[in-house]
Amino acid sequence: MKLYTMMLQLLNAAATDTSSVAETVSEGMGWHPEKALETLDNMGIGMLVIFVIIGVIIIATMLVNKIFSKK
Amino acid sequence: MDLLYKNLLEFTWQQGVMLLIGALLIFLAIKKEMEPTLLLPMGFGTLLVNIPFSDALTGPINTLYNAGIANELFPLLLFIGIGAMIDFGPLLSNPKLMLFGAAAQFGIFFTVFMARMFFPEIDAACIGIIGAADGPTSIAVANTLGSQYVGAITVAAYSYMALVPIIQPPVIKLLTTKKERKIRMAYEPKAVSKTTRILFPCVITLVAAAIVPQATGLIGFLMFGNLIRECGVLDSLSETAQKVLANLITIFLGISVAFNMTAEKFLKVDTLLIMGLGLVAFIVDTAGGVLFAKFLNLFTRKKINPMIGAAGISAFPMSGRIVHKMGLKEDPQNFLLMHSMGVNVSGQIASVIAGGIILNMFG
Repeated sequence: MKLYTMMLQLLNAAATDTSSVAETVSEGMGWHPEKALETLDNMGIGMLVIFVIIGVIIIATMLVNKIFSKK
Repeated sequence: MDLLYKNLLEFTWQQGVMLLIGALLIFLAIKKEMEPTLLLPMGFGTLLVNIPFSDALTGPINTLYNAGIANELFPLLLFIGIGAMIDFGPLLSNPKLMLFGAAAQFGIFFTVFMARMFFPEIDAACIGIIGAADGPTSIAVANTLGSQYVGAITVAAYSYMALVPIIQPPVIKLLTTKKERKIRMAYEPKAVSKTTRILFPCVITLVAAAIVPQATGLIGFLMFGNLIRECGVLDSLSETAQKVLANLITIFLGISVAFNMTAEKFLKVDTLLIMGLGLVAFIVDTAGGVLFAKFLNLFTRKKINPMIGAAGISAFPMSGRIVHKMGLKEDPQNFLLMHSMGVNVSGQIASVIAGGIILNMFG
């Protein structure tokens, strides 16, 4: 939070007019740690889905290897 | 006479900063040889679009952007070329290496979590995809989800891909002991039939697309390129895809990404934060792969050198080579190349699947 405020102040000093400071930070950006907790589910599900897909691909590849292996 | 200086008076300090950034990208591309295929066109494009009343921005760059970036066409076409370049042989002889590719995508989701503290959901998801360490995937996902940070995300993705030789080794050393880094892994290649090589891209496409349909374009075009390579009857198409197509699309992609490199879009506190989060993504990707390998070592009799987990990020082939070099440094008789390259190509597949999952979750 302090770092964010410092960075804003730096930009403020560099700007020739105050309106450019508002333009340096986009709409919707801010400090919302509580919002991050909502994505924990996504984190878990995302990794699970990747492992499931990769697992299926591994099994399919091993099957194909076995069926079509060079004798 | 005022025609000579009228435009010069319209220059803002923000445009001046962007011109310096463009020059820096060109310098990094030429002098430091950091991803020159993308950084040089991006850098020059940045120069073009930050001149007041530049007709490049409203004219050709705008046209190229709408023709290939806004509709995700260029990244997908580039994937055909990338797929044609990849040899899945080492991976096919040991498919279990794909697990490391999956583990090394943890940085994507961790970064989404971190980015969500600062950014709206869609932008956080697009920032997380920097961790895919794959330029076309990052551009495709950021555009599809409509992020306002496509320029910053693209610069972060390609810059950090070029910095992989600097980012990865310290992380690997921090998470492994000398004894672990010296673990030898014998390479026992199993013969892979031509039929397997042909069926593999088809199988991957069908499996991935069936579960995550949003990944169909990304994975499908990558595997199409690989199928052209492996089928054995399209040598000229394969060569064209690997060289002419890939180079042509790279030129168009690089310069049209500059559409998002204007001062108003790029020069924000957000951009610095995105660059920081991008670095976090790469570090956590590396850590995810290494720690997963260490976790597997708790249960396996044949020990795995945990360094190969770090090769699971999609920075192909750099990451695989880095792990191999680090292995040789610890033990000159330890040849990890085939294992690390197998993991590296699996990272390419996993990163594209991760891109599809992000599109599914947040689209």
